[in-house]
Amino acid sequence: MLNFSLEEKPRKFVETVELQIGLKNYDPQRDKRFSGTIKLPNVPKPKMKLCILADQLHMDQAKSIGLEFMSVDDLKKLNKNKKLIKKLAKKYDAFLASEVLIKQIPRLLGPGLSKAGKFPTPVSHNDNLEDKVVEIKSTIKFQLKKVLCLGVAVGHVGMTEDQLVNNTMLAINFLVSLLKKNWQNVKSLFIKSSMGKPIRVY
Amino acid sequence: MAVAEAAAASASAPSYSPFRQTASQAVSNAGYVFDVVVSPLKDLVAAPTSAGAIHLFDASSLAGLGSLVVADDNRDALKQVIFDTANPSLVYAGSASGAVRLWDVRTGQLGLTFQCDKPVLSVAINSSQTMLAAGTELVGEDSEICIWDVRNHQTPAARFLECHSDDITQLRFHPSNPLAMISGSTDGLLCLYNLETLEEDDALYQVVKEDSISKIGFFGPQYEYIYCLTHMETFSLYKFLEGDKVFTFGDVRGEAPATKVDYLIDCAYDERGQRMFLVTGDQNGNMAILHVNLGHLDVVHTLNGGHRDIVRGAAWDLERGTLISGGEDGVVTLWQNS
Repeated sequence: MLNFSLEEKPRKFVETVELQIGLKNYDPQRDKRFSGTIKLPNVPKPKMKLCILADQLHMDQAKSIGLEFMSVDDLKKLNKNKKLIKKLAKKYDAFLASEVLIKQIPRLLGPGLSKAGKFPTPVSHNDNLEDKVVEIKSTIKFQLKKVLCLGVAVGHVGMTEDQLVNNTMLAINFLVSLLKKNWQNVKSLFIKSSMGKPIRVY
Repeated sequence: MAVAEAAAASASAPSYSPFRQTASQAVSNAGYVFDVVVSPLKDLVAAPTSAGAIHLFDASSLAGLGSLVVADDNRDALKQVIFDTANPSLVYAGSASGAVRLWDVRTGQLGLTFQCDKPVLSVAINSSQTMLAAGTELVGEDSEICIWDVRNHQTPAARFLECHSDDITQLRFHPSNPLAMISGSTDGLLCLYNLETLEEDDALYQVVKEDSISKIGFFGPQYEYIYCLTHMETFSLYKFLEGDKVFTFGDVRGEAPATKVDYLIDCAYDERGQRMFLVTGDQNGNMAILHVNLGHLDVVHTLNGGHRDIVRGAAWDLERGTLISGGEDGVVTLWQNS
């Protein structure tokens, strides 16, 4: 595949691999527009910065796996200050929250995290926190809006070819299954690294 | 209670008589029929189209009762139509121009206009007809919920700009509590509001993380539950007041092997039997009705041959034994099982 970007022209950063889908027979004015998430088999975004809004147990677990956390008291200190909450939302790519805390989030923080598109994912005491972190880092978001193309990061060039293929196949199959006429709505499929040329696969 | 439930279950098992198609109307120049909505007296059905018209039918016979052009070009595409909760001939129509217009569908007269500054996707009116709410598309950084005091249509009483970060596809008021509202968005959040206060920070009291939301609604004997359908074709149930999860079915497309489910259309609640149903469809326009049990979905009806394309709306009147569906083929179909 295009792992040549590793040898021919290596870059100073780890290039992202993006899947681009061109659509046809789709009218974004009338047909469903949506966003969605898929969990991929291999972590496409290892550098994601996470934070857990944690109760005591999760605080202890977060410490042991090196996950950043905030306690209820920390959140209370923000005093519902919009600027501080916005700053908090910007500092991380995504949040988790202990299940017992999640219901208090609107009261503690107002809608600030929702507005930033970063409302926390709940974690219960039965969940393995480390698995949950991997799950969030493996989950990618895509959006089908007003334009007839759709791009989503499925991996990076540091992954093996097999890992990339697995991620790409899963992403393609899931996305296509959500289109109203499946493959009949697909005009083209391209895979591209950040700095590389797009390669047509369909 | 348990005995009564068991009795109801055993009595209901053989009572699923098959639906047959009894009438069908192809709406000319409709584009898509994107919903079917039933009036509060259950005598009228309105079918809004992507061409910007509302077509009216008699709910028991599907006889055409005329149509009303309420939006005429793409800029003003019609997005949602709801009946008023009291006056059976009034509808509120929200459109891409940002207007929510009140129409009398019997006379064709335009009443008040409630204006938002972003394209409207969803509209809701509360049970006491005092508050009207509209959810908008995301424009730039903002999507919003506009809430009007119906007596003062000129300025929204409140604008909630922070609760969602993407298109607000669904808004519902509680059928009996005029201050309880829920919203759903493609940002994947289901939000619960208590509108005793119109301060956004205080009104929003609960948020549930879901997937990109396509449909939400209240159900149950006292409407104490919420259902949520997503664009990932997942289906979940929550308790109303606090948003506690009751059950998540996940992606329903593989859940019912007896029938082909490509997408979810809506839910229907049987008040008398206290049963919940999920209405699904396939790409060729065939539908199925699944009885919702905690933990499993059972196909109880299949409705084949009524449509040739995606079905967008289905309204089931269990008392009368009729179901009306409308779809992207521009067809409205009446089914009967009594």
